[in-house]
Amino acid sequence: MYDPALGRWHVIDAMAESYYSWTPYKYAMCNPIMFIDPNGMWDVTVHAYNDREQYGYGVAIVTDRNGNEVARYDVRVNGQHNDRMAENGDTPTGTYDIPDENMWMSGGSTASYGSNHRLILDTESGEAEESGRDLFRAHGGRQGENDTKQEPDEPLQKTNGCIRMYDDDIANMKTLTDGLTANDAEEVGGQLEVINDLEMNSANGNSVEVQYNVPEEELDYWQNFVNDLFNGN
Amino acid sequence: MIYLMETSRFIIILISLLLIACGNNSKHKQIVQQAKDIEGKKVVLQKEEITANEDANRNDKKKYFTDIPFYKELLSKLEDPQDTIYVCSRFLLDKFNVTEKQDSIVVLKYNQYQIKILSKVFEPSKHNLDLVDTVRKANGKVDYLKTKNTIDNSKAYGIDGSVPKTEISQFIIKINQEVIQLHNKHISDIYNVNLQKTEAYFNPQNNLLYVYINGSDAAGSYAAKYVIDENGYVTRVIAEYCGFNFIDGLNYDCF
Repeated sequence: MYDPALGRWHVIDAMAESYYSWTPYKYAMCNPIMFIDPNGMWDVTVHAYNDREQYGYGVAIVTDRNGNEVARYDVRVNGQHNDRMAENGDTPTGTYDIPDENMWMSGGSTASYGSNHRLILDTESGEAEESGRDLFRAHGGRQGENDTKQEPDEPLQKTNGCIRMYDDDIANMKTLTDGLTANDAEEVGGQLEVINDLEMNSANGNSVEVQYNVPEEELDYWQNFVNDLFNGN
Repeated sequence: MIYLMETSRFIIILISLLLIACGNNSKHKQIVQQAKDIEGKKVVLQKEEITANEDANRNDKKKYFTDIPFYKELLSKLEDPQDTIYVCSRFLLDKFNVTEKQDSIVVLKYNQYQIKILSKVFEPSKHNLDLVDTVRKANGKVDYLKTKNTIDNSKAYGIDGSVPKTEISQFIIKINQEVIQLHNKHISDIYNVNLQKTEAYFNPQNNLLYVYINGSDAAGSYAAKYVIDENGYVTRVIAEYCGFNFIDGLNYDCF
């Protein structure tokens, strides 16, 4: 689904050969990286680039109530224009509430949303709230070779401000998060946060290559893990 | 001899003066002409360039829009298939001026034509809402919501399983002193209209008015185009597709 010829992801791609599957992160569930999870629910963090015109993609990382990463997906966060505060513009940064229940929706145009469910996102704080905008969703649709070719070189097409994901990914995300809730009734939908923290790696004309800097606490965890391993602890 | 010399000198001087005069004159004319030519050429060139670009754009867009599935689907959704004759490019139309534009009102004017659209707060209690179905798992817990987006037994535009915030209260066309009000059935199903983005155009070829309305945001976004003649409503096209903003969006200015 993702065209490596586009050279989009550097660091992230290196970690996510099968990015749409959470299989590579199973170990994290077995070996919890105890991050601080403020709300004790499953959450999503979307790491994006500030200038969406130059780079309109991001990575969505799903964490369980213990803060363990359980999946990551490629997403597109481009709207019809670059004013994130105006209707139909790029996806605003900030925090969105994922309803505790009834967070998944279906119906409507399968061309626009894909044939799978879409995740309801209610604006809560930051640009999302300040913009006064509404009806944000994370959904599939409009992707790949069978699309209407609005943007022929783009694997995921622009939205009107929603977060676009691959159809398989959004289906996977529902199965995964339903599973989390089934295993622990208290683990319900928490928040989705959009952060413009991807950094430019290099620029080439109008496009840029970006990198995602792994959080320090995660690096510390792995550093300690390696140290413990070599020290025989 | 002297007389001849004087005469020839006089003639030479006279000819010189005449030549200088003519030269100056012709030079002056030439400069004026050149200036006119340049000015005229510039205008002509600009016109030619603009025309050529517009033709290129039109041809590109025409080629593009006749070849994509949602264009065909869009045309198929016209209320009357014959209405495809009203689908045209805004490049060919005269734009209305905005005389008033606020969140709840927009007034647009072009010659003897005036368009006024007003919105009001949506009152759920006055409507029959059927927005979502709840789909449950085998254990009885909610699996997901399935949108129906039906208000007063009609498909509602501008929502996604949600209650609208605003609805259109009036859509009036004024031609000279004659007032035409669009029938409620043509405007009652579009909600959360963004009047700030409303635009209108006039087609002098067929005296039709084209009103472009955008509404809602993100998953509820839509773009509507109303075609209106001197008797009132002719047809409309409503697209819910992202990237299919009639006005700016991806700069697809056709239709």
